[in-house]
Amino acid sequence: MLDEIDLLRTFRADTPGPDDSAWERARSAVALAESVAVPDSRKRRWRPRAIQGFRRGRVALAATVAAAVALTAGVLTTALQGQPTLTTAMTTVWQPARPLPVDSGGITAPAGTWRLMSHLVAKGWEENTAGPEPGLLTCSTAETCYVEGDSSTSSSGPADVNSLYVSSDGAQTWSVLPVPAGVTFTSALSCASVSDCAAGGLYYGHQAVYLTTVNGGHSWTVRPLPADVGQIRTIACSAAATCRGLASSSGTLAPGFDSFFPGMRFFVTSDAGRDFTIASFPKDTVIASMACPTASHCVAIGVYSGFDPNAGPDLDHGVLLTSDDGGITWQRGTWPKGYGPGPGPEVICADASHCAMTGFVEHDGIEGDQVGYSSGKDAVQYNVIGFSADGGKTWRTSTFPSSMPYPWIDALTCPVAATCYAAGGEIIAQQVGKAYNAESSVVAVTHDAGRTWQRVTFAVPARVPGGMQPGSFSLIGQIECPRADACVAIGVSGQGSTSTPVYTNHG
Amino acid sequence: MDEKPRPGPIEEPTDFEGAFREHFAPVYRFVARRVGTDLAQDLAAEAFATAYRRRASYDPDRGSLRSWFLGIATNVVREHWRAERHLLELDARLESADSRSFDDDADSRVAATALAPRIAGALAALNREQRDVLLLHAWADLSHEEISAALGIANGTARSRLSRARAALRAQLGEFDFTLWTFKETDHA
Repeated sequence: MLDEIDLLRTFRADTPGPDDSAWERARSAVALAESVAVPDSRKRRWRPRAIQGFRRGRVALAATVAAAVALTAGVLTTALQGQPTLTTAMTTVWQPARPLPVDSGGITAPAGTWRLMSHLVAKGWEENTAGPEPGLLTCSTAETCYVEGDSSTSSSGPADVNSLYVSSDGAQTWSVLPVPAGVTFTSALSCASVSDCAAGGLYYGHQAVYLTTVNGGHSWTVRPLPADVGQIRTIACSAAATCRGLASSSGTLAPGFDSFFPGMRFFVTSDAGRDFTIASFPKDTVIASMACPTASHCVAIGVYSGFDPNAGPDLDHGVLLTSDDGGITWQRGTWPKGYGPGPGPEVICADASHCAMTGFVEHDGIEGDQVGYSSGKDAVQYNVIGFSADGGKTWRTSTFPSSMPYPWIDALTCPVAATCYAAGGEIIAQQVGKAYNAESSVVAVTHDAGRTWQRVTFAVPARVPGGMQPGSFSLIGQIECPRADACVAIGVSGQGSTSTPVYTNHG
Repeated sequence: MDEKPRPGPIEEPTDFEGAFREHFAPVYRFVARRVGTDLAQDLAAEAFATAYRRRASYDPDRGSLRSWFLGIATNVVREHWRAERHLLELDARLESADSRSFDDDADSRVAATALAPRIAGALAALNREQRDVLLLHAWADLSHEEISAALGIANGTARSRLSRARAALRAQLGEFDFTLWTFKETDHA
């Protein structure tokens, strides 16, 4: 049976091929390129996206905000193949945040109602050529949130997360914080308090570093990682100096996959990144997400290794590991039935017993299930949520209500044991101004550990705010809920947008 | 679909000339279908000039030449999103499809013309990432793996993005009867 691809192939099918002038124009362009090009003899490999969580695409929040960074005593940089390299820790001087112009354009609504709160990047402040999309959101409290932004301008290059934004009023207004020169983030921030935060990073794109701030990002200590600790991909801090996470085994990640980098290892540091304890996962696993609700108990999920790099990992069969000795040794668990890990698995734990993870379901199209018919095991894909009440040993599958038949969950957070928020997109068309989006942003909340869900509603603007495109409202990329009743979420930015929507249900 | 990768990177202009002769026409047509023939000359030329400058970066281990060229072309088209959107909006405003069915080959051109406004409207509603993977698959016959290489995204991401785009397109197409090859209703949401 014919399907939507066959239909699509009829569209503009009579478009002619190039005529002589098109060929000639292209030859001239190539000849001009040849006359001015300086061939690069170094073979530059494709590189993977550096940040887990950018499943949906691209971020381009803008040019660097690093400004001039003065180095304190004890800092020494050397040149290695023309690139600065840190040999010891450096600390940048305190710098103020630069407030972004207030341009809320939000929707007036009572507290407790989800609404568009503000725009993350105001037009004119930052130059973006590819349109900004969400960076990585971290809320240390209901009032204080940070967003790392990606300035990359090409979808085929690595992420370039070199900008940092902060809000101290519950996402109503935002300021730009300094980022040390040459530093790009490789993980989201993790904040043990409102102002003590840590993250992984790269120094001038080649040296893995550990970043800490004790004053909410106004100054940073950049510490080179030991040789046996590679690039940090995820980090979670239980105290200012004590953090756990996932890091690669070498400083530069080999080409890999958004969420799946072979060789990821567990790390823990108790002295703000000076010393590390490293532990490996079983060799046949590639771990993508980990949660440690206590100092001793951790849960990790991923896929099986050994996959063909061109074909990618098996997204329908996952790996589940638990640890009860703080991540030093890991025991295999039984992956839940009914779903796989999908392309961007995420596990979180509200406490030692209660954990949740995103699950990925895909199956053949069913005529009548949706309009038309589409074959192939990946014709229909959506997310479910797995819940565990025994620390990740056994899991119960939770599906979303019928108002969200095919949700794509980008982010999951559980501020308390039974209350979780899932955010992403759904194939429900919406009108924004004069334009239609094929998808809508969705947030769903459960207060009974997934037995029931409520889809929260939030209105889109009557017209598209300045700096945004209608597609900005088609999905949500990140959500953080410091309290069960206080969440902040950031959307994406449609093509051509210079601003990213920020939503909240409080304030 | 899968094209055997070249044995090595494009290091010499002579290598590039052969690649240009082989791939320019399909890349041009892909670009022209997205932004129209008026703009396609410039953009296809720009794509190949960019490819020439970056020829040393082509890595045959990561994908075919065809996918590499189409990835560059997609990036070039992306910079001209206004033109693409404008063209889709123009097509969507054409007279809507009537309710006749088109099950005869002789009617295929008429059918395509009649369906065009609905398809254009559906494509316009997709986001950029979805449109990129969908059109690389439908119009350039790239597989998941080739789309992954073309766009520099993970294979799983390419697979899920394509699946999502197809589902969104189906939802946008509304009551299209794939047996009768016509819409059951003519109201365009």
